[in-house]
Amino acid sequence: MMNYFPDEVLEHVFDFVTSHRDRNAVSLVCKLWFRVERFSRQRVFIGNCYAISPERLVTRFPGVKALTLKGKPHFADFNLVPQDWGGYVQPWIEALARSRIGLEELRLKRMVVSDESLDVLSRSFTNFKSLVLVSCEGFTTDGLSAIAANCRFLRELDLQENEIEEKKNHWLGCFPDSCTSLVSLNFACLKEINLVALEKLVARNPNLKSLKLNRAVPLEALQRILMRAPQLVDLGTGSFVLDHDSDDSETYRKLKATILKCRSIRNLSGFLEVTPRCLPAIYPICFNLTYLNLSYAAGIHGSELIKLIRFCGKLQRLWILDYIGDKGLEVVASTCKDLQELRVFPSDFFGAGHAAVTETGLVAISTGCPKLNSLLYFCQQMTNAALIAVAKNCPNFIRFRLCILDPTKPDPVTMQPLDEGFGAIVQSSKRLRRLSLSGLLTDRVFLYIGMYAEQLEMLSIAFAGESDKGMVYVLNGCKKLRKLEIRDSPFGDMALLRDVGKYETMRSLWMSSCEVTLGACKTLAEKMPRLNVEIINENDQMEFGHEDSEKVEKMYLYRTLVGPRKDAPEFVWTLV
Amino acid sequence: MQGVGVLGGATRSGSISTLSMEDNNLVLSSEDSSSPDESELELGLGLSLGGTACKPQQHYARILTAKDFPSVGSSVSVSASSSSSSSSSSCSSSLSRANVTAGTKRSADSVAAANGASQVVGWPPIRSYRMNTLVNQAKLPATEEFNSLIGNSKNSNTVAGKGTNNCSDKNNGSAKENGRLRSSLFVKVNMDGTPIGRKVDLSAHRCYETLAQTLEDMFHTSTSTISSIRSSGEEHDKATRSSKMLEGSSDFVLTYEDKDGDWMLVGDVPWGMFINSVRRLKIMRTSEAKGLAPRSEERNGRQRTNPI
Repeated sequence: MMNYFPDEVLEHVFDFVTSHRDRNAVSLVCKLWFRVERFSRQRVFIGNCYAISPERLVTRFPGVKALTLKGKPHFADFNLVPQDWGGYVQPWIEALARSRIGLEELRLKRMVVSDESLDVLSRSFTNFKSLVLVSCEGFTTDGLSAIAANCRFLRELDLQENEIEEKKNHWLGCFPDSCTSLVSLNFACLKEINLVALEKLVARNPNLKSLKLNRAVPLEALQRILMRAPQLVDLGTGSFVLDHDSDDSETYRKLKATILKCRSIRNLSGFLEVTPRCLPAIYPICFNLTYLNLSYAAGIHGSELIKLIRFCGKLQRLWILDYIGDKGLEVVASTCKDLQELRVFPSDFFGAGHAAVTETGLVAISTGCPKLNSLLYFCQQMTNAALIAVAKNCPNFIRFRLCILDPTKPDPVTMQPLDEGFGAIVQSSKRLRRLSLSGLLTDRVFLYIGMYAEQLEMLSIAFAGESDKGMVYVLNGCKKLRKLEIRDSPFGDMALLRDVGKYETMRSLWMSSCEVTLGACKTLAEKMPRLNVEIINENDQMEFGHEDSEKVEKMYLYRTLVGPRKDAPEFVWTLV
Repeated sequence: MQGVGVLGGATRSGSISTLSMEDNNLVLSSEDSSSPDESELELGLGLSLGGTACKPQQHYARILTAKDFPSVGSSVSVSASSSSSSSSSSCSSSLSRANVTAGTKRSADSVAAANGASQVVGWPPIRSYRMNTLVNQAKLPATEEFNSLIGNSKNSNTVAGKGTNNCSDKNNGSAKENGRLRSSLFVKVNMDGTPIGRKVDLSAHRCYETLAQTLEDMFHTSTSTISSIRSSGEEHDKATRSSKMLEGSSDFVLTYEDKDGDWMLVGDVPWGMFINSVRRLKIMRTSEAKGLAPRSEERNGRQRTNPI
């Protein structure tokens, strides 16, 4: 029936189909739909930049306006992937520029971005509006100058947790006076900023809704900025510090008065440096906050932290350091009844053993916040009983990531592995999509995951399991698995080769410090030409020969339509 | 001497019972410049290498310190794997991991390991950006060397954090010396009712428990105890060690003046924070310390703020 409609009608119908998956599904129905869909597609998501080539993107989707690209594997965040591994955005930008695509939005994660890429980007797309860089590296503030100077209609520049080399230029001053279209600006990851340019920029951009400052912005400047931008919805403070020497009571008074006018703030973050006695200035906006991120606020702890939380009754997302403690989490549980997402980050990386949060805090949260659906929890210890209670209280988890700082720690009460606890979680949260495990775990937990985690898409395993069976349970059972990353676990060749076809249904598999041998990887690569099986070898391999029985230190495999990548460094071998 | 001070980090099973036998040695050594934690680590190593109570699965790289790395033939397992062949291979592979620093950001982990902090590469799984930022902010004394190495490992001339290398200027007497991450940090201690004050070297301690024990000994408070050493989120097993310092029932509380001039109860903040902000200590009578609730904003009278 649909075949008798003109293409425009189909296109109009497809306009209502917005999620990537749905549009992908639409394109598979028939050739007509494929054709109509590809010309009308504006937003493209590429989860692995090596799965497809820039040329094919451009050929298939000539109308693309918004592109998301991800580069390095997730474990690169934790220094498991060497520098120069890859993930360069340059070929993408060049290809898009060459084909005169009207790119407007670019979102990159874990990619290498150069100043040249940014320069080409800024000059090639006249309607370019939004640049979001997350955990990227390779560029300097010169690249930012190009963006500022050349993107006449820029609305969003969002720099999240990037490694940026800062030069002496004042890149912020490169925004021309005619730039009045900014809606979102985040430079929290930079160390310096030109304050004068910043204040002028804020003053002439009345549509600014999201502003995240860095620690070079002092309290006095924050006050002046907020005066200019009371319409902000999303605020990241920089330095929230009052010196004794300055006329602090006046500044503080003005700040309090100004903040009272900022009635729209719903998301608050920053506090990269804090004088805790200034915190009462923000109490008035706490009431309406739905997102509070204090995970970098090392200066707020103990009683001040808890007092602040008590004002935030409408919180839906809370990111915090484990200074909050179990007692503080009880306060969160009694205050934030709408809480959906909680992330508790560790303050003490080197394990001096200061008890921060334990299972007690998590159980308290689960009791008080039944809407909880997303959790990232770094803790000293966890018990099966607690996990079972949490599973019962909160059956709606979509993301459940638990990190016990001692990664093979058993239940300290029973000395048992945590299999039953995680088993309870996967059994009760039927919509679970992402899971990270830790603690002492046997193959049994994987049996449970394979049995119950039907919607699971991403699984992170570290120091867990006893035999190949564990991995096999997961590969067999989790039909929707897309990303599997494993480190320091005793899974080997049998598990790897058990179902080679499975990997084409997934985005990628990472295995490091496991039992997988070079020979098995070669076998896999031979059998599956549409997988790139990459071995990362950092040691000087001239010393020993390459026996097939040799264990592979790091393996990363991913499905791809374009064969081995041409930009692999010499320590990455792509097996064929 | 009643009660046993809880040493930071001694919460792992298998090491507790042994430590209690060694208490006297550890407490005596708390007055020395060597940290009791290091001797605890040595004991732990002694146990594990001797292979007494602990099963291989319960070992992992936390127990390794820089002393282990040179000895490649160590039998200490570094993974949770129970098969011996894999444990030796992963042992050697982690050794080689620890030694490879070129071209990677893992120098941070190697340094931490070399400091005796026993890091597994890439664990805990926190983005390096976050780690670097928080380490710079917290300005833990042990991380000064860490920070300068972070700066060196980057392939750029990025300044490694505002104020990172200025930490030593702000810290009272903790000038960084070659190879030593801490030197003395003496602060004055006064006790209500005692005219003569003392001094205590805070760098000799790594946690509140040993500090409180030391102060108890110093001021001979055998009948009354110093209380209110609370870490947020302390585990239940600490209470079972019946340290007087952890209970609220006593005549005295331990307080400190921070660098802002405010008096706070000792124990609320992580040790590293405390070390960086403490100027002097005072053992106050509980009755006089009533108004000194750390939760109040009225501590120093300089700022009166009214919550809305």
